Amino acid sequence: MKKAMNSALLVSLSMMAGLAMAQSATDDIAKYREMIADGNPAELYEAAGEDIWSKPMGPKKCIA
Amino acid sequence: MKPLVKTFGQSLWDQKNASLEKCDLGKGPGVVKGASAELPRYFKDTNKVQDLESRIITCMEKLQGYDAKEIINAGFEKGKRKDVEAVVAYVVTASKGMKINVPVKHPKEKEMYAMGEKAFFFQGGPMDFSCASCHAEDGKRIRLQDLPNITDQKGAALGFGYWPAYRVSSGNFWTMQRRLNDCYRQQRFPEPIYTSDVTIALSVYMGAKAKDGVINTPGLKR
Repeated sequence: MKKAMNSALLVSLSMMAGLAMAQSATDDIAKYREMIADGNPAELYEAAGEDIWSKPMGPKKCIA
Repeated sequence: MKPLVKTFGQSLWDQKNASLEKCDLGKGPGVVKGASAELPRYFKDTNKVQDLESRIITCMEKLQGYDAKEIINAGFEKGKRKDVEAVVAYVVTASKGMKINVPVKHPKEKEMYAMGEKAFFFQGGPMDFSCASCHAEDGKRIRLQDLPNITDQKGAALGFGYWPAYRVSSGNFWTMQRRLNDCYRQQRFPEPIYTSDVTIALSVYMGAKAKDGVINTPGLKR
């Protein structure tokens, strides 16, 4: 019984590997990008940039 | 002649308002929306074709009194350059979904386009490479990365439309200048000076080739 289960597992594993091989790596990268697209960390830079854009600063800024 | 008090008041006002909010990125002082879709472009006040980064530096120098040379000589993510990069992220986000429309009308813009094209095909360095070695044919790749064919509109839009971007492998935000700097590094060319004419010319060439492509900045790269 255990042997049968093991071989079934092996068959399904190799099928999965076959499926993965059929896709190109770039498809997987595209999928990965889609997965993280909602949380592009560039947003953190954008927020910082907006702040820098609107805040008076630099040598020309009056201290008083 | 302006009364002295008025002049003094004006200068106090300017000092209190030494922010980038009056920065003209090409669409009028303070206009951020859609600005990066039309950059690089010619600017009358500097009599130069400028990309987003060189233009931000001009504003930091003129409106806030920062030393442009210091920013140019600093490395990426170093000193005031870091602020330029953050402002880039802010500005390019405001053009997301718009169409790429880099102008090639003014004689200086035409000159920069021609220089960009020349630079793109210029082959040299220890590996005898050019930008075109990797980016002038369909279906090329470096390891697992598909490389866009920049000589064609679709490919140019794929390259130009997705940079600046957050780069997952290095865990930081890369501006177009940084991306171009890295292309030159991979070709083993001497390191280009930040915001130098050749880097801006390459952006003009890519941007003009990518006309009407969609802007997806900030992109997300491997």
